[in-house]
Amino acid sequence: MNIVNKLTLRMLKENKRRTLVTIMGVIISVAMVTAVATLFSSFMDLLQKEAIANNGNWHVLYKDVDKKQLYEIKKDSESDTVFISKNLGYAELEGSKNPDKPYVQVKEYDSNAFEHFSIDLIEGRLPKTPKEIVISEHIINDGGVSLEIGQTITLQVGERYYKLDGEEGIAGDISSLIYNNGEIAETIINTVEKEYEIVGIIKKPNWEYSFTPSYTVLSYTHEAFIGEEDRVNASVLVKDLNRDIFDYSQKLAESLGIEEVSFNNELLRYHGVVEGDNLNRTFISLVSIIIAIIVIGSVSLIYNAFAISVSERSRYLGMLASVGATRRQKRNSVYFEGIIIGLISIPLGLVAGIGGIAITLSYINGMIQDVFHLETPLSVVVTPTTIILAIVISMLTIFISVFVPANRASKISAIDAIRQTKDIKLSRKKVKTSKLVRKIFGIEAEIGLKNLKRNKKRYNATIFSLVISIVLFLTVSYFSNTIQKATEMSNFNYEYDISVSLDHHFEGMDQELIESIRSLDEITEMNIIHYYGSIVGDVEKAKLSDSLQEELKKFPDMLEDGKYRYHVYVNVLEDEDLKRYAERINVDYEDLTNTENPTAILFNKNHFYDMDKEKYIEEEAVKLNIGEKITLQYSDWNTDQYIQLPEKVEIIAEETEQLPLGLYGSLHPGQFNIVMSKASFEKLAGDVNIQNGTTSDMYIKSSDPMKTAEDLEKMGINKNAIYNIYEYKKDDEKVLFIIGVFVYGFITLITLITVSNIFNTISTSIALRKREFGMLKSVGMTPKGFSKMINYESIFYGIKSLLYALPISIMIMYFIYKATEFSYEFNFFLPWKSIGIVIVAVFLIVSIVMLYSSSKVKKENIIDALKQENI
Amino acid sequence: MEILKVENLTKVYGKGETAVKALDNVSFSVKKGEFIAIIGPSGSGKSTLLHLIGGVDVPTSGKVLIDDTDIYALNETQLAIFRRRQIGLIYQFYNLIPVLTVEENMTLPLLLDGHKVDEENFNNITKVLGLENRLQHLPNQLSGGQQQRVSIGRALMNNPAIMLADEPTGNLDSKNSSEIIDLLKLFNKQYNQTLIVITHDEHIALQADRIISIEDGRIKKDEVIRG
Repeated sequence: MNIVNKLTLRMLKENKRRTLVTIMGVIISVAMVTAVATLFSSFMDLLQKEAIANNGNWHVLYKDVDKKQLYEIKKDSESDTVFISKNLGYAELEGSKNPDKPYVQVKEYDSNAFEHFSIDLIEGRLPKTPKEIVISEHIINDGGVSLEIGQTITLQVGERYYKLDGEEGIAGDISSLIYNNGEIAETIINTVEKEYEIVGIIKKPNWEYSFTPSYTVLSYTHEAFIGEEDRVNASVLVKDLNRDIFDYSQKLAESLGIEEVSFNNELLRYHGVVEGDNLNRTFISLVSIIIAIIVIGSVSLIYNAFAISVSERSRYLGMLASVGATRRQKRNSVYFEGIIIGLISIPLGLVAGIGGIAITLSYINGMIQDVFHLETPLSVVVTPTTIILAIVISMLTIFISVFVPANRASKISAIDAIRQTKDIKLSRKKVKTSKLVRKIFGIEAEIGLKNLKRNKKRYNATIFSLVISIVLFLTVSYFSNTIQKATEMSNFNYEYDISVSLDHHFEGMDQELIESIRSLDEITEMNIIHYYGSIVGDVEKAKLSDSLQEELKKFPDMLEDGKYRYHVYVNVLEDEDLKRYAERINVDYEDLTNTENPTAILFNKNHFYDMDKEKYIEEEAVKLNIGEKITLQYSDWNTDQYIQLPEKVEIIAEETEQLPLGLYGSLHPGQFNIVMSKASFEKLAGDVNIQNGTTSDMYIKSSDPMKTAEDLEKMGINKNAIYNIYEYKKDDEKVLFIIGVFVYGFITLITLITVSNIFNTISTSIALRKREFGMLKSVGMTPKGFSKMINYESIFYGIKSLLYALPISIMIMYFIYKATEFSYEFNFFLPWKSIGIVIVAVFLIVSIVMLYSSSKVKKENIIDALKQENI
Repeated sequence: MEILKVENLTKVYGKGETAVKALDNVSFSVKKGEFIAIIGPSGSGKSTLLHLIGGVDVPTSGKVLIDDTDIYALNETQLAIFRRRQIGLIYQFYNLIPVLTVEENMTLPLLLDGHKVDEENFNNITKVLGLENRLQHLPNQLSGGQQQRVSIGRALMNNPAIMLADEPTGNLDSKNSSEIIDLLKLFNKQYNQTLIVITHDEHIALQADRIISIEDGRIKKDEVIRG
């Protein structure tokens, strides 16, 4: 090893703390990149496995090839594995209880085909001769035919011939059973009698469609059994999978005279062979964005570490220069440092990244499989490409970080070392600080501020890394919030678990049944809403909602006689339920049951998407005051007439937050919800027979929705009337949880990087100032004053970095908002919580690091500190 | 034979009003094996002159020829290599690298060149310097005088054309000082090593063959004491 590298190594050992922090930073960075890449390759692998489970593991399929062509395909240099299959045809399945599946389809596979077409043996063994078969378990479970292993069956195997409206022909493999006026319009012809012994039962293959009229039975074939006249299908796995596969296979087929070639497109897509797929592209661009964020964060940390290292070493580099080290030798010493850091960190980072993902996935794998209804579990897959990609990105990260400091190192000249000029050149200008600072905070604060201002370069380096850290944290957490919010928005957001639509009407309701439902143990809350959707009410111009007022400017003829016709959705609650609701929102229940004058609660908040403004709007639905009475009309759709209801309804309360369980609150302009009692509604409607647009539903919140749904069925409620949305809600919750795991994992790691960055920068900056501190103490600064000075410096660091970072972050957040707006619409929101966390964290971290580093300096003897050579 | 020729050397720091002429049109030449003392008050420009001769600073105008090589006509890398092979620098504050051992510090110029150390020469020098038992020590385990001897060793290691010393005894007590000067003189005489020493110490200056005194960036006096 040459002397410069030896020197570098010793310097690294000498500065153990900084080296360790740098190594940790690089490890985290490499681990994150590896984790993202591994996750990507694991998902790709999962999708490939799914594709194999669904379609089989093959790339190219040559149809109807003869013995000679098969020989040529096998001989072809690109073919890796070739396996054959043959469709013998269809046969009646005696005793099938499924009217849509009266047949079995008989196929012959060779042993490779059994493996590659994902055949899952449940019982027995696979066939070894053309006289043996395995049967799909579906024949027994779905078809209700009792067949057993060891049994022999005779099948008349032929083609599906159909005759329909004068058309006739042979039905294809994916055509469902052909009917003509309710009669089956096909028969099996050209039959050959085959006798088979059942040797095993297989799981229903995924490629067996539920709509085709047959169950699968598989027999055995072998290349040697192929006669001169026989035609088989040859499936090929190629050696080197790339985009040329399409052209190559077509050409091969042409040259051999094979007419039909098909490709396993789904599988090829997940091998990245098929281009232009949206999912793939979104996936890849997402991965690239995440990796870019990681790289930016890591570069800012690693760059800082090296910049500090170079400035610490500038004296040695200068000395080296004075004894004749060339620029290159100086520069390479920094690169060498990068290589050493990389050699230690990259392998550890790879292990940590893969291990981290493996552990994470082992926890949430079951959930992922559930939510996405996967055949196979998501397993951690590490490909050489992943590793190489992670290594290359990490090396690039280190290189980018080292580039500038290395160049700076190369420029350090002997004279710098001899003159002991510092890395940070003091500005000659007088540093001005406001007199106010001294008056308010004392001389210590002033010195603190002057320290910062005078050493511009060091100060700026620290501020820069603080700013980067804050911006990264805020934007990443905003981005994650956006994803979470978007996911939440695209999901159901109902409070209830089960809804049951009731046969209308409340007079005709089976009260006994309702009571027995109410008494079910698991039900925590229940609400019955009788809803009337065909009632309108005229509202005068001044009382329209803001958006309607605006609309009115464009379309003045919306009004009729100076009034606008609102849709008034009337929700009548069962007395018991209304009582509970009234209590919850502090309304007197007695007032609601007033039979003299009908009364109602107005739910006065609409939440809708404005197409013109392209955003979500929340507003008052109508500007009605408490105590106001409105006239309502029933819109009879059959006669197209409006029938005025005999009584007016008085608004006795307004509510904007709490809705009765099950009430749909997201109404558009020109609509509002009112909640009434049965008694009030009967008075309001009088003799008017309201029929259109009325429904009655029961909304249930349950501690065990699955059991409740079963109980409801047992009680005789029609299965079709029960909507169990709990299942969807559960899936949504799981999706949110999975996203949360990754999002918070990512934020945690980014935070780790940024905190170590701040730690590194500040502690070094303090260590570099030992002599300065010694001097201050020598002229009589007390330890208390010293702490004060340090504290003020921390505060100035915090304020200054927040001053830059917050506006920058908010700007970036706004860009993210603008970018996601196209798919998900919600108003721009500032993540106050994260901002609050950041503000507290910045001061906390800065102060802790400052105190930690300065406590070391404080302990030092004044004379020793003074004697310290500069830098 | 002239080993060093300084021609019209001028060095100006700063610009415009604040410009300071540290060296003003200085010319002189040095023969091989000469021992020259440069004296002058603080700020007279003697350190600047030494740095310019040593090739670590760049002149505003003028030339420095060492062994007939115009060192400022070399590019940076060539100059670095020239410096490592032809010039030995000794500083007041030793400028040793704290993480390298005495042996490594001494052989640094050779190691930078990737050259093998000439064992005989090395042993010879360490013996003369009295460092043979300290080779594996780190600089901070040595006394000031010992550290300065290491830096002399380093300067000598490549058998340079010129040895330059900037107040080599400025940081030492009188006993150590005279030891260091004796060593320098020894190498000057024994190896015919050209030696230029900046000093405040009249006692040291008087031991030189020739004294150049500088004031306000100009040579005020150039007298040969013995020769």
